[in-house]
Amino acid sequence: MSAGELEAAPVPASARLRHVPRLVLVVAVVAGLYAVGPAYRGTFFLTFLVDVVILGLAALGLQHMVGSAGVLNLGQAAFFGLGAYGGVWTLQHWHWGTLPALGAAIVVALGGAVLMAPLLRLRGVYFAMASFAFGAMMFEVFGQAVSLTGGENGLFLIPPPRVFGHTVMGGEEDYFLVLTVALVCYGAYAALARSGYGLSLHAVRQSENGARAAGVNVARMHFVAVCLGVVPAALAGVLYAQVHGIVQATIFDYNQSVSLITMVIVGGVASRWGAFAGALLAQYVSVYPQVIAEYRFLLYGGVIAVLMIVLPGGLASVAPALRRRLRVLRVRRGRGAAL
Amino acid sequence: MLSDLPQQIVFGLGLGAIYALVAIGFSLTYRTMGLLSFVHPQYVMLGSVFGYTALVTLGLPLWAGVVPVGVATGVAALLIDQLGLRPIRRRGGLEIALILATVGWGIVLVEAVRQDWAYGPSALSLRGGARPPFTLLGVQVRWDTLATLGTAALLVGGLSVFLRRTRIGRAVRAVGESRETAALMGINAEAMFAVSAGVSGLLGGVAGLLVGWLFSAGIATGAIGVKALAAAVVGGFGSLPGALAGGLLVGVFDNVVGVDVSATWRDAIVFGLIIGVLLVRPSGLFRRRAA
Repeated sequence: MSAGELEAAPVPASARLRHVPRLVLVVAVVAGLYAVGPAYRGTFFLTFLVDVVILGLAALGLQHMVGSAGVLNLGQAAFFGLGAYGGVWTLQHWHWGTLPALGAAIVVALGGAVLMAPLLRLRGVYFAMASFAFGAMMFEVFGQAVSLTGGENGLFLIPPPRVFGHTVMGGEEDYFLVLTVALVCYGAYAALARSGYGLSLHAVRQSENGARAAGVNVARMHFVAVCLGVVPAALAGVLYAQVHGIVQATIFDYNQSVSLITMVIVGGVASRWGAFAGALLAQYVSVYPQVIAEYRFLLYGGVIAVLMIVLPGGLASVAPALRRRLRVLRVRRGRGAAL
Repeated sequence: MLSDLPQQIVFGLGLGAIYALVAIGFSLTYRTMGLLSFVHPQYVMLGSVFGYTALVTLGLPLWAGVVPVGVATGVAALLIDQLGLRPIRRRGGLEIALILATVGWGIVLVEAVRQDWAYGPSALSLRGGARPPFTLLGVQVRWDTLATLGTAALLVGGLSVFLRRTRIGRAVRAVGESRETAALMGINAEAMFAVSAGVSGLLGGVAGLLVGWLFSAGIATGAIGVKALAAAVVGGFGSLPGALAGGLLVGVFDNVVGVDVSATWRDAIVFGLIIGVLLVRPSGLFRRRAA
């Protein structure tokens, strides 16, 4: 894997859009995202979007590990599951609200990250396989530890989200809740990327030896990146459980891990918003084509494979590629006029 | 409970021979192309349904089905590699893009086979009546265990001769050693990738036929491949003798744990073993140097 292709300078977008006041842009995008809620009130599309944001959140954490730290984790569904089961336990047994349950989920998922930590001394494809085995093992645990997880049948009657004493009642309110959590995580990662930690991580991804020579503790950076990467997945787990009211072990199998990494790569491995774009595309293809219902997973597989052929940089590379092409065209036209 | 341990070991060896065939394919693909291929488990699935066509639809005996099923799966693997993965290699795509493309093709294969005009979503049975087992040194041995072991031994022997003694086989190994050096020697790396993909597919296809024969055929058969990946890792990913030993080991371990320890925790224990092995010996049990 050449480091050059993964490269994304810590501050890419702002340089290009220097003339647009950044804050205005951010506010406009956020307002637009919230406006989607009332605009699609009561539609299936909104329910679909809630799932997209939840899965995108789990993928966002994975993007941090894979894209920012170069840790190819093929067992992310385990943390999605740990968060879900940890959070649901506090909801059902201790009757906590959503926010403390999210905290509990983070703690449980961090426990999982500590379990995974020894694997981090493996490199490249070996870590990928070990994390795959980790995910497969955790899935077996979820499926068999019936007293904690309900096993294959799952846990039922999970209460809907309750925030500051207000019970979130489906549809639009679900959307606002998951969107808020997602935006907070997104913002936190964006801030992290510009911090000392983000810069060290950037150095590690460019060259581990170079970073080491500059005094960066590479092993610790990898571990911290994994810890930060499991947090959104754990949050996504609780949100998924509360929005759907049920969790079953099959949601957290290795197909889910593969599908999360698919979202990250399809969206563009170096791009934070790519995680959500990938989730949108993957969910759309697997939910929407009703006309060819029996072929939609065939289509899903085909889209992944073909996308990797025509657009190896993922959806996030569409805009830069177009811009580059435009610039080439413009230069050519300019030269033509001069001649 | 442990009195039938020898029995479980013998049956586990049969299962292990299947894991070994698949694991060798994984390792060969990794060694030649440096690719962790997630489409590989689906060649087992493809082999099992091709086996259904050969044994049930065409009514061939098992021994006559091995070659056509193997070749058909090998050709499918070769086509997927050349049409589906080669364009990415040519563009110098990321390793992760290649891995993900194999995930995509794997889904395509399963979903294509699932369709009603293909083989449908349910498990298929390949066999009529089974022959009664015989007793050797006080251990009951099933004929199909013996057939499985024999087929696997023939294939592994054949592969070993192919890789050591033939021009093409040596070229495949050379490409695996160093793509650049091999190119300087006039070896066409892409052609060797195609060969190794075809050979891996052939091994996976025959394994699939045997899985279908021992258990059942159909779209769920690819799950065998996940354990086989584990076997390849235990043996040292990329090492072919390691994959063979790892396959047999995981087969026996899997079977003994499943019967004598806990059927429900079987898979968790086997995956735990993989993690344990990787932690103690990061390059596998049978590999001297790190990759």
